[in-house]
Amino acid sequence: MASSERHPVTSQHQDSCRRTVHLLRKMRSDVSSLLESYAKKQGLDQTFNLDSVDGVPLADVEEWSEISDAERLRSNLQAYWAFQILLDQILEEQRTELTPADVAFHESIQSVMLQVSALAYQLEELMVTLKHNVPAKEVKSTKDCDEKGLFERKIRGMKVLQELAQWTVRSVRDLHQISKSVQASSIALENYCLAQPQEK
Amino acid sequence: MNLLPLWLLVLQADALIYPAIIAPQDATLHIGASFTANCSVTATSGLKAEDLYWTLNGRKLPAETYKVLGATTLSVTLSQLNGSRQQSGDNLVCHSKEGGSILAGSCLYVGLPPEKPTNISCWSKNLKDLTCRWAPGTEGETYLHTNYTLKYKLRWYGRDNICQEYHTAGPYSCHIPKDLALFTPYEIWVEASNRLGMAVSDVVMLDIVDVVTTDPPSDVHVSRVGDLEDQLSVRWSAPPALKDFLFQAKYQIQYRVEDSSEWKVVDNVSNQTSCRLAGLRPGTVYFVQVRCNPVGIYGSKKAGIWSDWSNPTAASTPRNGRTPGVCEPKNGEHNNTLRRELKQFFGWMRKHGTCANLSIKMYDQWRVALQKSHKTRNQVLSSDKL
Repeated sequence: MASSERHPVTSQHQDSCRRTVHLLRKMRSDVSSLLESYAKKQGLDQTFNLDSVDGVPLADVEEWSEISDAERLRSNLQAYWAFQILLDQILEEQRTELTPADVAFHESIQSVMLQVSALAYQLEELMVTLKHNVPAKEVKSTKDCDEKGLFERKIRGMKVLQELAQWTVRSVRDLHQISKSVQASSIALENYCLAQPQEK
Repeated sequence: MNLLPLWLLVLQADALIYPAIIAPQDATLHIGASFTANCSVTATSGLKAEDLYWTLNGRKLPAETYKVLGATTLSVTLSQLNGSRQQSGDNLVCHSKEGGSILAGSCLYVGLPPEKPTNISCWSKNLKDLTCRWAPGTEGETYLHTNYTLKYKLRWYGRDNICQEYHTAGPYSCHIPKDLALFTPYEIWVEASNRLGMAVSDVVMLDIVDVVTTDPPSDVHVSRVGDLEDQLSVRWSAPPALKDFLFQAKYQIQYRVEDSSEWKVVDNVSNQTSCRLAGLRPGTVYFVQVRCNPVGIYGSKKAGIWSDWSNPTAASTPRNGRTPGVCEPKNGEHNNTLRRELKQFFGWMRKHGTCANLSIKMYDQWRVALQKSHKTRNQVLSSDKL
C-alpha cells in the first residue's frame, strides 16, 4: 500500500492538512450558528442581500482553478488575518454599544475568533512545510469604523460573518486542490491530504 | 435578476458610501413618544422621494405616516413608540421600492430612564471581602441597557471607590475582593444609568464586622446512637476560616427522610458542634445538613448572616420489628419490592464493595447513590422538556 511507503515528512504534511480541514469543518458549523444568533440579536433578516463591504475579504474569486498553490495559501492566510481584526471589531461594538449585557453572545464571537487564529497559524505552518513564502502581516487601521452609525455597524458585522462562512467552504476546497497538486508533483507525497471536502 | 440599479453599482465600487442618509441617526426616545426621521437620497442615486419606503424591524410602515419633503427626501413619523424590541436597538430602514434594497438605516433606542435601585444588602465572607446585592427599582425593565455601578467609601474620610466585579451573586450584584477596613462604617450606594438618564439609590451604612458570614460547617458526620431506633447523632467542625476570631457561633440543622423534599429544622443548636436528632422513624434513611451563623464577631451586636447549608450527609436509623398499628403491604407486593431492591443492591455491591466490608453503611451509601442517580435522571428529564 502507498501509505506504508510514505516518507515521515509527508505524513507530517498529511496530519497538518487533516487537522486544518477538521478545524474548518468545525468552524463552518460554529460560524453559521453565530450568524444565525447575530442576525436575531440585531433584528436583521439573514436573507438581506448585502453587497461587498470595504475591507471584508471576498471568498468568491475569478478563475479559481488557475490559482497557484502559493497564491491560494497566501490569499487564505491573508483573509483569515483580516477576519481576526474584523471579528475583534465586531466584538468590541457588541460589548460597548449593541449588546453590552449579552456575555454568552460575546463568548461565542470570541470562540470563533480563537478558531480563526488557530486556522491562520495552521495555514502558516502549512506554507512553511510546503516551502512557500509566508507574506508579511499588515495591520490595518480600523479607526474609520468609529464614525459609522450603529445600523451600518450591524450590517457590516453580518457581512463579515456571511463572508467568513463562505471562506470556510472555499478553504476546504482550496486545501483539497493543493493536496491534488502536491500528489501530482511527487509520488512520494502521494495521498498527501486524505481529507476530502464535503460538498453542500 | 434584472440589471442592478445605478446606486448598487456605486455601492459596490465604494461600499462605505450609502446612497441615502437618515437623520437623525441612532436616536434615544422615551416610551410613548413620537418621532420623525428623514431619508434623503443622494443626487447621484437617480432616486426620488416617491421611490422610497420605510420599515421598522423588518415591517413596512404604512404610507399614511410618510411625508414627501422635497424631491429627494421622504420623512416618516412614528407615534406612541413601544420599548425597543432588541437590546441592540430597533432598525429603522429606508428602502428603494425597486427590489426593496436597503438605502440607509438607523437604530432607535426606545425605553425608560432607570429607577432608583433599592434593597441593597451586603455580606462579608470570613471578613475577607464584601458582596452586595440590590433590586433594580420597582419594575426593572427599561428596554434599554442599564448599567449599574456600586460605589463605596469609608464614612468620615474615604474617597469614592468603584466596585469592579459584577454579577458574582446574581444579575444585580458586585464583589469587592480585598482592601476593606474593619471597625469603620462604609457608605455604599448604587448608581443606575442608561441612555435616558441616571438614578442613585439611598446610601446604606455598614461595618464589615456586622455583616459576616462563613463557609458551611465541614466534616458533618451522622451516625447511629447504639441501637436506638429513633435517634441519630450529628457532629461537625466549626468553620476553620474564623478560627482566629473571637465569636459566638450559632448552628442550625435540617433533616429530611429520603423520599420527601420537606426539611425539618432544628433551630435551638447554640454554640455546640454536635447534636442528637430524636423522634425519627426506625429503619429510615435521613439526609442531614448543617449551617453556621458567626454572631458577635469582635463584639458585634448584629444578628449575623447564615452560611449556606453543608452538603447533605445520609444515615439510616436501625430497624425495629413490626410497627404496631401500621398496615403491612400484601405479602406478594412486599416480597417483590424487597426482592427488586436487594437485586439492585447486590449488583451495586459487586461494583463498589467486597463481602469482607459488608455492613449497613454500605447499604446507606447505596441509598445515597440511588437517590443521586434519581435526581440526575429527573434533572435530565426536566432539561429535555425545556
